Amino acid sequence: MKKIVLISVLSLFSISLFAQEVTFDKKNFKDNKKEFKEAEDHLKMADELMMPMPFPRYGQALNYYLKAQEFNPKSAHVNYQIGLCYLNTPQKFKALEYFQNAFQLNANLHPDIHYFLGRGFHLKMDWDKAINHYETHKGRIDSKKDLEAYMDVNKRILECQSGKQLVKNPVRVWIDNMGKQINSAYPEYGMVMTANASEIFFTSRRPGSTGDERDEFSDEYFEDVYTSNRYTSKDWTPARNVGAPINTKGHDAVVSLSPDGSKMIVYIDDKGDGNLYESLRDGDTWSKPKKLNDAICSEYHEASAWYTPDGRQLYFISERPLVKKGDPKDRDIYVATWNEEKEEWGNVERLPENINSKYDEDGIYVHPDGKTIYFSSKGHNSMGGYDVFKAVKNEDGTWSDPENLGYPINTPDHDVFFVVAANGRDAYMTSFREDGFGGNDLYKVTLLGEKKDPILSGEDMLLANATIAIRAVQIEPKVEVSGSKLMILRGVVRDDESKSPIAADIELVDNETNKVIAEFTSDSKSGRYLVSLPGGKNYGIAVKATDYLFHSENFDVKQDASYKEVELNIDLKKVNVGKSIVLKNIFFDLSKYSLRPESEIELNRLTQLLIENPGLKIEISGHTDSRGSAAFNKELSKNRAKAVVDYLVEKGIKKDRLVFAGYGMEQPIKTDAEIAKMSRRSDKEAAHQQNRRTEFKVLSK
Amino acid sequence: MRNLQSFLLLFCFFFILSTYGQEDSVKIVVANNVEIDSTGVDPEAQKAYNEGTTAFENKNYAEAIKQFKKAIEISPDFIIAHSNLAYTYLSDKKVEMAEQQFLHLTTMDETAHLPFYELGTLAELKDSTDLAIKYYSSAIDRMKSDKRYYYQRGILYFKLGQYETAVEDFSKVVLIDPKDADAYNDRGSAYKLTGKIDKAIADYTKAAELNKKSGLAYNNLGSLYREQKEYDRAIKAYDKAILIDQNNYLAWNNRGFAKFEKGEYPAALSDFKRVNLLSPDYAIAYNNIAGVYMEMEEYENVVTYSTKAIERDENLGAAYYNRAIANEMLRNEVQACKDWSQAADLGIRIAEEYYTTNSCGNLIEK
Repeated sequence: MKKIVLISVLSLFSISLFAQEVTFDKKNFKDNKKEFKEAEDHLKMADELMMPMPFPRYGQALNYYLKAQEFNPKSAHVNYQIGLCYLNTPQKFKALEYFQNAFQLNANLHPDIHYFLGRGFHLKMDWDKAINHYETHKGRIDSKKDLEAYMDVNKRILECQSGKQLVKNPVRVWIDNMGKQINSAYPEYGMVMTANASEIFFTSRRPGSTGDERDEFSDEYFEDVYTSNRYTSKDWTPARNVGAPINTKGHDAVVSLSPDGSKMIVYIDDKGDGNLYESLRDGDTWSKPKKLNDAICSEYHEASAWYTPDGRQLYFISERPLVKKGDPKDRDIYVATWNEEKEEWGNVERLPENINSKYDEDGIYVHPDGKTIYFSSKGHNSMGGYDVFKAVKNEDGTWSDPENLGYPINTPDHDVFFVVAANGRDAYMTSFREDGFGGNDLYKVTLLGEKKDPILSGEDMLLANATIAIRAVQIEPKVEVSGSKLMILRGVVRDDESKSPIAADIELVDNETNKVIAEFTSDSKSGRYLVSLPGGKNYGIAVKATDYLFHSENFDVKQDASYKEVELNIDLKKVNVGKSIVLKNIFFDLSKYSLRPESEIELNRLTQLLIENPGLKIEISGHTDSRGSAAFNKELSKNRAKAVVDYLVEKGIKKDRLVFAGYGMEQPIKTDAEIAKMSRRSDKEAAHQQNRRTEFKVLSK
Repeated sequence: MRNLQSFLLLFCFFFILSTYGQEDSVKIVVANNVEIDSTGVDPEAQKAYNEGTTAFENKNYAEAIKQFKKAIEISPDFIIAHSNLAYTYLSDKKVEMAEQQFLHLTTMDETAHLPFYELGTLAELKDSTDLAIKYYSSAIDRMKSDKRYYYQRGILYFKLGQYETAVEDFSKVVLIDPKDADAYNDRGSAYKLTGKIDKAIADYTKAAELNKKSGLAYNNLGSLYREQKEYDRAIKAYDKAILIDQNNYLAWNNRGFAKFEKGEYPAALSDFKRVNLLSPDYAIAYNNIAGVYMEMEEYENVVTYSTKAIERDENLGAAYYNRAIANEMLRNEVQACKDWSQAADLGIRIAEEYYTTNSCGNLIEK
């Protein structure tokens, strides 16, 4: 007992010794009245800036408070206010020091001081201290009178508990500032990109923004959209303002980009309503953003959106109220579907409860695989503020439970605008870090996945009289490769002879269902195109342009295929005599010549070409690989060519316009010698497959 | 005919197995001269025969063949002349002639089993495993108590991955000779590969007891325990193998592997480095050192040692794989991609996955 009394006395003594409050009272500064007056003016100015609700001018007030604090560091009020200001600016982690000062100077200054001490320790990831302060604060709340505050502190405690668990197993990542070509001393955030991250757009509040004016509330430049790319180098080009009509004198923020970069969605405040507008690209020119229809833009706030890779669905965030329950201010994820007939968005559905928590969701991003979404949420097992989560749509349409991406991607502060490139390894996020260029910066996050274990080996003489040791089976690490299961096809569509870029229509067909599943257009000025091919389908691709023969490609992307990026420049051939193309989506059964049903779309395309060019005479030729007997192959290829001709005749094309020929293995695209030099079996098989083909050639027109 | 067979066996007693050629694995047999008239064979034939053996001793194989043929011509049933002719063909590297001669011997005497055994070994030399098995089986049909025939056949079944059948043959061997340590060891290995771990342990232990001068069985026992994740037992078994032969670098390497898997990285490193001293060209140990440094997160060292492994064995896919991981962690991503590509080409499947997921195609291009 004596000990307790002694400790208490010593504690009180130490508090009084080190933490004696000095209020802003002129009686306390008799010897330096002038400086006091100046500091008092700063304080008054700062307090005024904190008045406007619900948006106090924290950033501006902070500068005045810091000046006042410089004069009188022992004002509990000033320290407390500085803490509040820091808590509401990017440098949140500085708040704790000032709340601690305030508490030491006057523990009873404000009833919420333990809450804010909790916030300070929470942001510093000092979980136990944060929980202690939150618990103390909770003990002072009458839950019947202030349920909201009670619920809030409970949520904070849960966040700390999540944080404790998440930081125990940090995820393996590299986080790198994107560099001075992209970032400036001013805020950059909200990066969006093409599927393969070769071109990016982001929002910045740097000098030189359109109108070059500052927002009166934040004293920062108005938002503008900037862009950069790495088409010709692995380094980013210097950030460039995209200009009008995307950027205006007001705030202009990019929120979404289609995977091929042909469409952009921007956020426009619309006097607080918050709506989404779409702009279309033509070369380097963007159309004037057009407000998305009412299905998307409700009378409530919409702030974020992302296209699916086929462009047929749009995920977006809205504050619209639920019919049955929920807070009208609760931001949730919705999905709209493109109505082909009406040519508008419709059929809006809210994602299920396991995705939309009772807290806010924001920053939706749809991965190019079409089934994985990344979003930020204040709910689930967030460790504080918004955390980034990932969820996957199952085959049956249900969603996996969201998975917290973990520390250090997530922190106790807000973590939003997280986008992942098609390869599943490169991600990008907005973050404020002390090593940044100033304000929020854009960072590249390299997702290293699970630890890669080394391979070691031993050797044994399993047989007593063997002369060579038998190597113990090398067990390869059982690592589930976390990369994306998809293929990105990109390149340029050009004229076969002049190599000039062509604006061509690109049709994506699911060969199993014989349905066109998406349509794209190559860029009119650069000819550039990009198509995302999620795993699990056999894709037929047709590239068409007026006065040109169509070009067809076939890609079988397995369900479990690992990520692959294929560059394919497509040279379209004019409809001229002697020109030939390979029909890559005509299929036959093995060693047979009956056409498989999935050939139909390609055959109809060919039929259409002949109808549109009535003078055209063509040769259909069959080719095989070099395996099997020459005689059999020749006969097979001839019969296959004939089957195509028969189909065309059946569709009404005159027989005298069609010639068929079987060349067997006589005209390989890849010779046996070339194939023999290939080291991988998969490359060899691909070469053989290239040789097995059906071609058509223009004989006359 | 039965007399001839007895005579052959008796005569073989006088044969001296002079050399066992490692290079061609062909037994070279030198026969002593026989006493003229001692066998009841025509004296002229015996004379030719003796001249043949003298020529053989002088490595004048052409003359030996000529004389043996002469002896056979005079006395077509002169078995040992046929036999010596076969071995002389072998010595003269006329393998096909030797085969013909051994085959002829099997038909001359329907009880003869040794020629089938020789035919089996010749078939093995030509990698004709199925044929070799057929010959050993024929030898066994004619002589069920010769452990060599079962043993050789068992090894072939083992090599074919037919471990259950191999076990049957090795079991015959130990039935015939319960002290055959090699057969116990090999049966243990066959049991191990069929997942009969307890039986494998029993056989390796028995083999180790029977042959106290060889660390082979202890090493195999250690590896078995290591694969069962019984690292302490594994290390003890390797200890015994090393105690028997301090220069057994395979046991040092394997003990290091067991220590690595147990998480004793410095001790593992020490064992692997010992292997470097004992067998400086043994690539696997360098790669294993790289693996230890990986766990210690000393990536520069991983690169150094996996490179040393590659310098010694350019086909060691695991070394490219390990170096790729280290290069990735050192942020030499282009080099990492090149190594993953090499590792994938050498059959490390997961390396191909990493090559694609890390967008290596783009990195290397740019």
